[in-house]
Amino acid sequence: MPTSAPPPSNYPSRSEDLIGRLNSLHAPYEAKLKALRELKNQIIGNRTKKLAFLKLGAVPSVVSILSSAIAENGGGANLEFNESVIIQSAAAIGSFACGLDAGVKAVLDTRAFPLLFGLISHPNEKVVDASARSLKLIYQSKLAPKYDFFQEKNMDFLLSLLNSKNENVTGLGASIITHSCHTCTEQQTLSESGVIKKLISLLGGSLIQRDASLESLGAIIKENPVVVSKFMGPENGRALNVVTELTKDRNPRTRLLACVCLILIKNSSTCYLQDAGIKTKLILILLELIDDPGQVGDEAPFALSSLIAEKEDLQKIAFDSNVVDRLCNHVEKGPFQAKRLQGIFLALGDLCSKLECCRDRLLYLKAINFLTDALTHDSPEVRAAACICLKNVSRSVKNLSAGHFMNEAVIIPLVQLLHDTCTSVQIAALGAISNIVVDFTVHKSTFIQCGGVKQLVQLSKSMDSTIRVNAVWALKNLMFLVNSTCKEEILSELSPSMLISLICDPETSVQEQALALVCNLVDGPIDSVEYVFAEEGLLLNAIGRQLQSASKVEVVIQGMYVLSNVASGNEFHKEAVMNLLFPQAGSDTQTILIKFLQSTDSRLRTASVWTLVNLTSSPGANSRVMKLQTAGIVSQLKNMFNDPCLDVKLRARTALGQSMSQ
Amino acid sequence: MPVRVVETSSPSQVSGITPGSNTPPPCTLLSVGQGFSGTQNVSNSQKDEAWKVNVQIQGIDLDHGYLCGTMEALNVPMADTPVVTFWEGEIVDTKNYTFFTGKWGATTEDDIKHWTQFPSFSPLVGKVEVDGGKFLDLSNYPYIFMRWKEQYFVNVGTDCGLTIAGFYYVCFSCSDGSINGFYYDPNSSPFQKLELKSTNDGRSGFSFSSYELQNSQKRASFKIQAAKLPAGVELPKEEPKFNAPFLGFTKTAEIWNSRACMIGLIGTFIVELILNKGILQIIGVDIGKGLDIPL
Repeated sequence: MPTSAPPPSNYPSRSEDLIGRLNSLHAPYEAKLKALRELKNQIIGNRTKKLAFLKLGAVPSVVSILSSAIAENGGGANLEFNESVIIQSAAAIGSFACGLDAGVKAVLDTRAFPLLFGLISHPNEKVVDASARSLKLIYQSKLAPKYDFFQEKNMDFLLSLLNSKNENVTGLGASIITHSCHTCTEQQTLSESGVIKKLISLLGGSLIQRDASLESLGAIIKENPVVVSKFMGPENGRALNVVTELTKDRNPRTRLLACVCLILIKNSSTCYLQDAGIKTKLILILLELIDDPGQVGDEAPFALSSLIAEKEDLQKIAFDSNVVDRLCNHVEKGPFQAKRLQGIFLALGDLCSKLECCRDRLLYLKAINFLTDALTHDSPEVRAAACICLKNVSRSVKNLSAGHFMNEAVIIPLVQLLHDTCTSVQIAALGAISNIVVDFTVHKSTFIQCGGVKQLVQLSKSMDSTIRVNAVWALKNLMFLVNSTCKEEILSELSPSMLISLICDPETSVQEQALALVCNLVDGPIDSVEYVFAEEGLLLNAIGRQLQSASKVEVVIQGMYVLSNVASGNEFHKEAVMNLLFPQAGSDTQTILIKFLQSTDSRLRTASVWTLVNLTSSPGANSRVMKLQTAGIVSQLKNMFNDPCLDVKLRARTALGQSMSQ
Repeated sequence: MPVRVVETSSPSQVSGITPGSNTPPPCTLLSVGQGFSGTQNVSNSQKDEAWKVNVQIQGIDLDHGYLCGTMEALNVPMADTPVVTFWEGEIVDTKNYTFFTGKWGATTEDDIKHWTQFPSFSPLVGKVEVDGGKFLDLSNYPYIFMRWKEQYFVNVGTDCGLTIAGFYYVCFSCSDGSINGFYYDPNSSPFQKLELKSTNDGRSGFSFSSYELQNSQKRASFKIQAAKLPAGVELPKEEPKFNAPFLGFTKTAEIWNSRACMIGLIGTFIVELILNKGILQIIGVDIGKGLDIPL
C-alpha cells in the first residue's frame, strides 16, 4: 500500500529501538513509562503495527514490566508513578488483544491473564478500570479460556464483578457470561445464582452496561424455555418492558441487541410476544437497522432471518411491511461487506420459504439477477446464502411450471458451484438445483447440456453422505416426468451399476432417494419399465434385497412403488415382480408382503395394495391370483376391506374385485 | 375479458393452520405427476363441439388446500397448436376453503347451482346451503371437491382469442380417479362439462412418479457419517495430519534402517573377533590381493 507507511529504513529500527528500551534493565522507569505510552499510542487501532510489534516480542516485555510493577507496588515510595506504569501496560496488553486473535494468543501465552484478574481488586480505581477493559477485550475473542461457572469461587467472583460500581468491571462480568455461557446447565446455574436479576438492573445503567448486559442476557436465555420463564416471571414482566423500551433507544447497537433479546424470548416458546403489534414493530426496527452503514447493519439481517425463519405468520407480516422490496432495494445500493449480503440473502430466503406472494414479489423485482451475480461472489458464505435463497424462491410450482428458472444464466453458475471447494456451498447449490430441475416443461435438456448431470453423478459418489443424498435427490427430481431422450442421456452418465450401489448405500436416506429415482425412471411410457431389468436383473434384485432388509419404512415405501410401477407393465414385467415377491423355495420370504399389508404406516399399505392392484389388473392374471391366494394375500385383502385409511380401503376393494373376477 | 374479479388474494392463508385434523384423504391418484385425459364440452345453441383435454397435476399442498397443474386443450379451432394453461386449485376441505367461492364473480347461488350438478354432492347439499359447509368433515368422503382457476397461458400469448377468465367447479372421485367439472364464466356458455379419466400411458395398471422440493429446514447442516461406526468405536478427537514424505524417506523408517545396519556391522566385527577371520575369508573369498584384476 502506498499510503502512510513510514520509510522502511527508518520504521523497523524505531520499533526495535522501542522494544529495546522496554527490555533494557538499566533504563530508568521514567524512560520505560514513556516507551510504554509510545507503544500503546502506536498500536491502537493499527493492525499492521500490532502485528509488527507482536513479531518483535513486545507482549512478553510489557507483561514483565507489568508484573515487576505489581511486585514493587505498595512498597515503593513513588506509588503514583508505579500505578501509571501498571495502567499503561494493562492498556497496551488490552490493545494487543483487541480484534486480533494472534494478539490474544500472545497475551494468553504470558502470565498476563491472572495478573490482570488480580488487579481487579486494586485500590486505585484507574488501575481497576484499565485492567477490566483489557480483560473485556480478551474475552471478546473466541480464544479466551472458558470461564467455569460451576466452581462456587468463580461464581462469587463473577457476582462481585456484576455488583461493582465501575462500569467497565460490570461490563467485564457481562462479557465473561457472553463468552462462556453455552450449555443448558450453564444457563441454569447462572439464572439460579441471581445473575439475571443483576443483569436486568444493569439495563438501566450506562451505554456500555446496557449493551453488555443485553448481550449476556441473550446468551443466558438462548433456546432455554425454563430460563426464559424465569426472566419473564417476576414483577409481571417488568424486565420484558425494560427490554422492549430499549428497542426504541437512540443507539442503534442497543436497539439491535434489544431486538435480538426479544427474538430469543419469542423463539423459545410459543406463548410469549404473540401479539401482532410487537411482531410488526420488531420487523420495522430491524429493517431500519439494516440501513446502518456499520456493523449493526451487517448483523441486523441475521436477526431478521432468525425472527421469521419457519414462521409463516411472521413472514406474512414481513411481506405486508414491504420487507421484500426494502431488502431488494438495499442490495441494489451495494456493494457491501460479504456478511451483510449473506444476511440479506438468508432473510430473503426465509421470506420465500413458505409464501408464494413473497416469491412472486421477489421475481417481479428481478432479484434473480443479483442472486445469480452473487453465485460467483468471492466469499463462500455469500455464495451459499444466494443458493439457499434461490432454492426457496424456486419452491414456487407456478414459476417452475412457467420455466422461469431453467435458463443458462442461472444454471451455468449453479453447475459451476458444484465444483466449489467449500462443502457447504456445494450442498446449498445442490439444494437449489434439486428444486430448479423439477421444471415441468421441456427445458430439462438445458440442464443436461450445461453438464449438470455429469457433475451430479460425480457428487453422488462423494464420501460426504450429505452431498450424496442431495445429489441423488437432484437426480431424482430431474428424472421426474422427463422424456425418453433425456432419460437415456441421464442413464448414460449414471450407469446401472452405479444405481445399484446407490440403492445399497449405507445411508438410508440415500437408499430412499435412489429408489425414488428408479421409480421415476420406470414411470412414463411402457418401454421405460425395461430399465429395471438392466445388468441382467441385478437392479431388480438389489431392490428386492432392500425390501427384505431395509429398516426404514420410507425406503420400503419407495421400493414398493418401484415394484408397483414395474407391475403396471406387460405380462413379463408382472411375472418378474411376482418372482421377486414370491420366490419358489423360500417360505419365509413370502411373509414380507403380508407384513407390509399389515403395517401400521398407511403409506406403506397404500404402496403395497397398489402393487396388488397392478398385479391383478390384466386379463392374464389368473395364475398370479392363484399364487396370491395360496400365499394368503387375498384373505389379507379381505381384512382390509374396511381399512381406516380411505385410500387403502378403496385400493383394497379394487384389488379384491379384480382377483374375484379372474 | 370483462369478468369482474372480486379478490385475487394469493391462495396461501395464514392464521390458524394446523395440519392434520381435517384434511381430505391424500389420494394417491391425485398426486403429483398423475395425468388425466378426456373432453370439455363447449357446445352452445349454435354448434355442438367438444375439445380433447389433458390435465397433469404438478403440485399439491394439503395443508393449504392448494393444488396446481397444467391443462392442455388439443383440437381448439382457433389455435394451430394445443393450448396449454397453468391452473391453480382450491381444495374444498372446509378448513382453508368452503363450498362458497366468494370471488371470481360467483355468487352463492351460482355455487350451489354448479355443485348440485354432481351426484356425489347431494348428501351434502343441506348443510352447504347454510354456511358453505364450514363444519362438514370431508376427511373420509370418497370425493374431493375443488375449484380450478387458470392463471396463465404456457405456450401461447394472451392474444390467441381464448379466455381463461372463468374457473372450474371440479369433483374428483378417489375410487377410480375420474374427474368431472363445470366451467363457470358468466360470459361463456353455461355448464361446459369437463370429463376426465386417469391415464396410464398404455400400461395395464397405474404408475407413479414423484418429486420433492427442498426447503430451508436443513440449513443447520446435519452431520452424517459415511458409514455407521461399530458399537464402542469412537471418532478420534483430533484427526491426524499426514504430510507425504519426500521421495519416501520418513524419519522413523530411516532411523530403524540405520540401526539395523549398525547391528549387522557390529555383528561382523564380533564374528571376526571370535573366529579371528574376516567375514569374507569365512565365506571363502581370497583376501589381501585387492580386486586382483590382471593388468
